[in-house]
Amino acid sequence: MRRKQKKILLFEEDFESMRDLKEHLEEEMEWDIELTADRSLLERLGHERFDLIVVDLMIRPTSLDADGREVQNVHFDGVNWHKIGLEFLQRLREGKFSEKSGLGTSPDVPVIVLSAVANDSVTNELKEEDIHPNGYLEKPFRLDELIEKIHELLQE
Amino acid sequence: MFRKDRWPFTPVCLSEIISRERLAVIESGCCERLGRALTILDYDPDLDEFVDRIESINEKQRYEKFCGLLRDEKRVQGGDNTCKVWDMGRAKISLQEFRRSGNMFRSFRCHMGLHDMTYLIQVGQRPVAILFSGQYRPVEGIDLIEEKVRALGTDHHSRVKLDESTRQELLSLAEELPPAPEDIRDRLKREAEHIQSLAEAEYERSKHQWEQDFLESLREPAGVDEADSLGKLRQSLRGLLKIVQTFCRCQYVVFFGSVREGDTVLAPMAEVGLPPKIARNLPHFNWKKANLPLRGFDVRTWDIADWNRQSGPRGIRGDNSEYFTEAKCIVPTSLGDRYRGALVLGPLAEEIDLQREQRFLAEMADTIGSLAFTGLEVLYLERERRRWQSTAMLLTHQLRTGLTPITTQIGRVKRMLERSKGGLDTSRISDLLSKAETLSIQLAQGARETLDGHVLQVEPEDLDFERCPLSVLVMNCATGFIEDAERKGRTLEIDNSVESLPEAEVDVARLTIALGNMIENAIKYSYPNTKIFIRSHLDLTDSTELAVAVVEVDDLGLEIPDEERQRIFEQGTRGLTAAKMGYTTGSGLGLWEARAVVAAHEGEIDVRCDRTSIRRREGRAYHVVFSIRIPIG
Repeated sequence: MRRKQKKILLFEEDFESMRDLKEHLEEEMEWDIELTADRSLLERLGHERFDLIVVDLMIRPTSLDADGREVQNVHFDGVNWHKIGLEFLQRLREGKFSEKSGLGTSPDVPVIVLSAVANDSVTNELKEEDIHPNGYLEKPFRLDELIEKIHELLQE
Repeated sequence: MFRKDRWPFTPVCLSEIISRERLAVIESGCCERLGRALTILDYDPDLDEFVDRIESINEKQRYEKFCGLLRDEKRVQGGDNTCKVWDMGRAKISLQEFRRSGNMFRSFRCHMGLHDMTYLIQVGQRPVAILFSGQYRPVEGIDLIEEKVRALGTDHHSRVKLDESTRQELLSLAEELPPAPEDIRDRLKREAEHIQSLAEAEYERSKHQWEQDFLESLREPAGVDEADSLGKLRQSLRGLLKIVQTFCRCQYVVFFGSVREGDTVLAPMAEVGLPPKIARNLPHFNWKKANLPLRGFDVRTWDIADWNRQSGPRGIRGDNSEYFTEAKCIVPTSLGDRYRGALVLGPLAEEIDLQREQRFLAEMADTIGSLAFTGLEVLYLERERRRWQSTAMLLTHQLRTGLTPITTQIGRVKRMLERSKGGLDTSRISDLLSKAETLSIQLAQGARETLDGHVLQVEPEDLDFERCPLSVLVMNCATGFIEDAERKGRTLEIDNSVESLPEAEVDVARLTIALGNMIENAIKYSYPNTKIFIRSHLDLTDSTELAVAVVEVDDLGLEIPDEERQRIFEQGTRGLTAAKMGYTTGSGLGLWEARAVVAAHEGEIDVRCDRTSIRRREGRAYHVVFSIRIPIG
């Protein structure tokens, strides 16, 4: 019997550099990967269940989708784009995207943070904000490592 | 002693400069050298009289016997007081005479008919005391003296009481009065000059010391070189100006300074004591219009007094400049040829002699200038460091992000190889590796573009907004292109309207670059031997919106067709006319950058092209007007 397909959110605005990853994870692992940073995502989290979220910390206000169309990405008033991912995580853990029905994504969903920042500022900031992701990978990362981490968090 | 907090420490009276005890000793020495009684009467500025007698250490030292008896209260009641009152009156007349004729020496007969003399003592060209000496037999003889002695206690000096034997003794002593030596005037002058030189030396020493103490205190308040923004630097400078205002006792103090290296139009960096409506719209200071040299300026060798009378005040221009006509005291300063400043002191509590105060004023302006300019240097270095840091971070971010899909492809290939059971999909592997190869090349190109164009990363949060007069920014920027335009056969004319531009919250450095790119563009693409005009105006047409400052760069060149006008601010656009005119085409980044900077200021940039009736060898001439609109809040 085929196991239940896991749904993973790749919260990332750089579609171009992440689509091969999405493709591979879908092909080899048969995970359902959603690669997006679209604003509508916040609302969807209330009624759509993701089993794991991979978050990039820097989310620019706009980016281009596969067809070259401009996408309005997740944005929080007064928050610099460098810190959108951090703010997203904080709000996620506080249950701000959850709905009472409990159908949506749990505030305790496993989270892997991706960061292209090369110093300790990100980890320090995560600590300061009391955000404890389940995994943290610096870009560029080993594909094996990411897959292994996802396996571990999905308890497969 | 005189008060330290009353710069320029104008001397008031002799006893403020030299203590009374020291003066008594000095006076005794004078009496001995002169061989005659000598008294100092100290000046009282409130009464404008000499009222305070400073006597020598020995009572009535070298007094003539006649005077000694006349002023002996036991023998002649009221005699001493009468002499003192008369001396004061005579001293006042001597002062009036001096003011009328400039004569410091005066010879006269006293109330008893004796031959007396006064000599005025000045310090800093102000009267501080008067010397009294004499008690000689007059050349006319002693008849008048005898007559006055006989009249004592009667109508003449009715308050004086003496017995007949004392009167007879006075008459007898009058006959013993010696005539004045021929050289008495010169000798008295020598003694007066001796006291005067001592007083002047003491005064200058104290004044210099107190001014140095003040300058030291001016250097003490920390903060100017630690400010991490222009706003904080201005705040620290304001603190310094407050100290200057109190010390120099002036209504207001303003410091104009270069905001960027080489500026000749100086922005008001800090001010104190101005009414709010003036402080809100300050003028600027134009170094060139004030006739100051652009190279090798040294305020210590500059004749501040003459310059203030002549061209100095012409440097204050723009908003509310008329308010500063009473300033009277402008002190320029510079840090090499890189930074320039001008310290303006408002009406002072008392008139000062600029020539006399030149050294101190120059040192004070230099002190404030060097603190301000060092602060600016630190600030700019810090900004530069931050800019490079953010560029390095951006580059790192781009590299890491760019490497991610490459490692993904490699990871995929690796996993394929590990998991292959016999047959390998070489075509798939080749595709993945080709993709990684292409991505690697793209990554290298991206990195190079980032390094080449890191200044083009313009986002509002990257800007350093400061309050700055746009007049100063535009003038400085445009002035910097005058020589370049001349070299290329164009004349750059800055319209007077620019001087009226108000203050706005802007990133001075980046907006200067943006405007500079527009001017550079005009120089590059206009016809040779034409004029380029820089002008400005305020757009207040829509009262519900913010006022907008409009700066225009107007040149005469080839037409920019409509379709190109739409694209001219796009990254990578090349000037259409360039090739036609034989120029090397530019990258077009200049105007793209200008648009990005102006947009980050919530402003707009535009170009219009109007046909003229002028025909040139190159073709018909068009007015090409680039304009930027900056909201001024």
